[in-house]
Amino acid sequence: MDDLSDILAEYNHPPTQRSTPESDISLLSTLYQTELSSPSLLPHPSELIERITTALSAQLTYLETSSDTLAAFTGVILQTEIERIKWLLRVYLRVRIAKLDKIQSSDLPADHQTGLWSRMSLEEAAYVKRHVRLLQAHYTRIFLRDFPERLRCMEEQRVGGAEGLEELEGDKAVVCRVRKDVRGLVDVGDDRGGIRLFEGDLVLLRWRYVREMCVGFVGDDKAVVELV
Amino acid sequence: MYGDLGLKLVQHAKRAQSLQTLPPYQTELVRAITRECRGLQKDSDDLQVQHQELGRERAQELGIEVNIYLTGVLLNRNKRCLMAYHRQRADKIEELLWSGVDVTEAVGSIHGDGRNAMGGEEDGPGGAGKSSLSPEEEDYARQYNDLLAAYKGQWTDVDLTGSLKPPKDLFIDVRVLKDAGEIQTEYGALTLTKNSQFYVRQGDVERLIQQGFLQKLN
Repeated sequence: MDDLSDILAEYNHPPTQRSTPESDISLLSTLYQTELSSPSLLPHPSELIERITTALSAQLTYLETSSDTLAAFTGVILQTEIERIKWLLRVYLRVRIAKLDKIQSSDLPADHQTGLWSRMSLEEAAYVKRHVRLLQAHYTRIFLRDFPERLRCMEEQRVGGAEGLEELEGDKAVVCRVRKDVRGLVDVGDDRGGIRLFEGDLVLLRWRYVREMCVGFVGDDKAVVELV
Repeated sequence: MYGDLGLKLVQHAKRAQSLQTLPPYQTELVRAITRECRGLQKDSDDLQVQHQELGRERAQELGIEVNIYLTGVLLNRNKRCLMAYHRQRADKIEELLWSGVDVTEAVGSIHGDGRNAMGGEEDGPGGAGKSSLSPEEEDYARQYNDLLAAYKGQWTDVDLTGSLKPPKDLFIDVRVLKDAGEIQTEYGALTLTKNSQFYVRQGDVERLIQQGFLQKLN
């Protein structure tokens, strides 16, 4: 019976959903581009990263164990490709860290409203927490301890709290490429009731109107736009 | 006038934004501002006492309430100036650490170069007493470096502090700028002596390039 349910399970997941190493890499580069130009932090694609790092280390092991049998040229090609994937992973993670460094201190306490934490990987969340603590300790040591109690916190009351931040981010304009046709009008906050989006279009829109259909926020197959 | 010092500090921060390295820490200025803050705080406390003694109406007449408000605003402003200045420097320190520069050492060698030009003294990590970081900042740099190491240690195959330029060639030409001893590569050991030139795998020497031992040739 177990065998059968395995087969059935496979049948229920159409093969188009399945990822190949190639599609993983191209998805990661799309995500990298989108992360670069999106004002908000995108959800961390844990599974994708997991798959890629596993494949990467498998490839590295393969290269090590079979370096005698491989033709030198093949080896060079493999290594070059590996270096490129490493680079892609590196810049992707670094872009995210750069964003985390910027948003932190004033916006984190009210994070449950924005779901900021849920968009980070465990490692990233740990990094942010420790970083905030370090900064706080640093400031306190230099000058905050000389201040009266009520001025000692790092945060200032921001009008609108963390939601205000989302508002601010939402106002930013992003250039997006439409990945597939959308039926009907898409609300973009203009006074004509929206616009039509066709595959291949390049449009400049406010982030808040495209966030919900952007790659990274919704699955790769459902995403309507990616950022450029 | 109150607040002038804070402005000066922020101007320092603004100027430093476009610099490659960290300018010396403004110890005196920071100290003066914290002193000003303590003074303001004392004023504010005194005023509060007067306010209570005189009662609300009388205090309003004498402008005490306005005074209390004003000292509060000034304190807040000074705090923001201090935060801005230190944050900018902390960011810079982090940036340097990410790019693989040992901050305390880098600072030492900047001064060292200057001295070398004049007296030919040995440049060392000490740069003693001349470091442009404050002691607190040096601590911060160390702690952040630990954090950085902890974060990037989770990625075994990818060096997060590596170059952000997309790799073009697997092998590159490098020239040795400083003696770096012997390194191990897949293709055997290389002895890096000054002014020699090698054709090596980029991944093997990335760190050495960042640390300034090697120079990449086009």
